[in-house]
Amino acid sequence: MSSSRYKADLFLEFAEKLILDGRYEEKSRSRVVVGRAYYTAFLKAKKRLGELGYQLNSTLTIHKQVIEALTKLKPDLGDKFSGLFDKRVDADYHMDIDIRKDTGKSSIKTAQIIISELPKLK
Amino acid sequence: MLNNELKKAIRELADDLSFLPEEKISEVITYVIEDLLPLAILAMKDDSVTIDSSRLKAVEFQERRRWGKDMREFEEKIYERREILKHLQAAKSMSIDPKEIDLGSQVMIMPQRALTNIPITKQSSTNSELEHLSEESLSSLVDFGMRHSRGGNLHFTIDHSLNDRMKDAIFVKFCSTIEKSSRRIAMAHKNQFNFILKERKDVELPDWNRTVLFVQFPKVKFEDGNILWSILSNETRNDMKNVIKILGTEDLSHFTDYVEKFNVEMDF
Repeated sequence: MSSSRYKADLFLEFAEKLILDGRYEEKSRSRVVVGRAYYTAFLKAKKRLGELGYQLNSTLTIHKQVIEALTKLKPDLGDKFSGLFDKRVDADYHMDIDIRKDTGKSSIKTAQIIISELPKLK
Repeated sequence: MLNNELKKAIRELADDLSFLPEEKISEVITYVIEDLLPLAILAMKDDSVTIDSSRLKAVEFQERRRWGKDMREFEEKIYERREILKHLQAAKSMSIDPKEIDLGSQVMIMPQRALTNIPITKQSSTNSELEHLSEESLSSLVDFGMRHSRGGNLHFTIDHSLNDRMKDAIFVKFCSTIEKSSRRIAMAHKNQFNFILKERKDVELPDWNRTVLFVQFPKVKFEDGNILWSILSNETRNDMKNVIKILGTEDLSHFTDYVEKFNVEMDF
């Protein structure tokens, strides 16, 4: 069971490849990349908060809980996470917002920063 | 009121100001006056901004006689005075952050439709002309977002999505704290800053709303922007902690609620 468990990092690796892949139309791949970058950071943050004793069980409010917990523990980290969350909402729900390669790339970098900061949380 | 508050604010800022070059000191003092002036307007009695039309015309008639051949210059002064009265009336009759009232050249109107409408409490006036002018002013203020020009490299916009909450004095204090932190950080940098303070509602949880300081600065590398992002996040929270120290119990929990639902976000 554990050997087949999907690793969240693979989302980010895929996003890094996809953003550079000119076979796909820029706006579409950029939106997908923002989503994958967010979910990598989200899954990693959820795991770390669980290790710190946070009870994150409600599917409905889990993104809110993670934003609030991170913001309380380390405001700058919480802000970066909430920024990435809002970018992901824009990418998935708001078709009037222009999302291009630059946003995809900055989302990948933001996710990497969040992930690198998570082990420091106490 | 303005005089005393101004002296107090400058005394509090004295240590910080001493590190700035002269031209920056005058800029900071201008900002302090801009912050305090609206509060002074709100503190004014209603009858001091509601001028009887016939009395105003009589005063202007006397003044026109006195000015004689320099009439054209004087007509401009009359026009300016009526404009000021119009804006004072608008400021007094709107239950929003009075900082958003155009009182001078520092404030520009940005063509952006309001997301929410501010409930307007109309003020009774014996002056039909001023009442008419006030209505015109109100419609432009309600329908468009305001952009405050705060010096060469900084724009701070309070989005219309926050209009409803601007009726709450604690929320105004909260926004003012954010604006002061933003301004201080922007003043220490040469980059162009565009700050937009807005409400962010969740698509899946309609009851969950946050106040977000959305920051744009063009021509900046991600790495530099990321450092600035952390500085802004931490400085705004530090300034909020300082405000919390001086708040009473009731205001404290109210203010803290806003702090807990606040995020700084960058647009790269």
